[in-house]
Amino acid sequence: MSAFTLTDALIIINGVTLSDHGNQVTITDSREDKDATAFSATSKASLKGLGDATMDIVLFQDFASGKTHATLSPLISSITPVAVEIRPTSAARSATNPAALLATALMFDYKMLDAGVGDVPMTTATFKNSGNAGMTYPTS
Amino acid sequence: MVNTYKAISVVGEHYFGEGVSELDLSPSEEQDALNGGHLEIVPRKYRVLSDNYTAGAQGEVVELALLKENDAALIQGGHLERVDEPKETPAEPKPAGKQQKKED
Repeated sequence: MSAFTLTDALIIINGVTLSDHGNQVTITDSREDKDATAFSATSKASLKGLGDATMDIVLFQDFASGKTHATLSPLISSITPVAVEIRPTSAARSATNPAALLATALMFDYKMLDAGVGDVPMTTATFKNSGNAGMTYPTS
Repeated sequence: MVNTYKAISVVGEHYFGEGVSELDLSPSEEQDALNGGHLEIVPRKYRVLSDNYTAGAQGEVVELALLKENDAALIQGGHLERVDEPKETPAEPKPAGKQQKKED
């Protein structure tokens, strides 16, 4: 496996492909760092706590039907989880093109516009896992 | 907006009625009933309106079992529209007219 440039990432939110509006993706799968250091220890001991998973997706804003705003804006008030999937390329899932999948994601942050004068308007959507499954990396 | 559900437990039948019914549940009521194994969503037909919905090509009719808020989000977003089945009506009786005789 060699290094590659990210030019063809796939972004699917609630079954809707928004890759052609995507500009940046950040996938974070983390565990809480719990201090388990006892007296007389000479080094700090850490234990893993609960997991957390977040996807930050930056998209070009588009108010046309079926595009960015129309797809994302209903999700900010919704309490029903949706699936969010990101792949390195638009090809089918495989061992060399694994998906990052939040099967039950809730959108916690929606910046409808994030731009200054003369900028191309962008929007940022932040999804977090709402179930125990957390982030998975299916290859098929 | 109502969704169509089928009761799949004794508790579900007690609270929501036996068999298939159209219910206007809140999103949390829906999640509780589905996660508790009391109801299941009856798949519904939708026409795909957008060119970027993964479950079907634009113009295609697909059958999906969507949660209430996801159904609303996709309809509001211009991706899907519901294709409601025409309700069955009893066939109208034919007018009792004279049978025309074939004349040579």
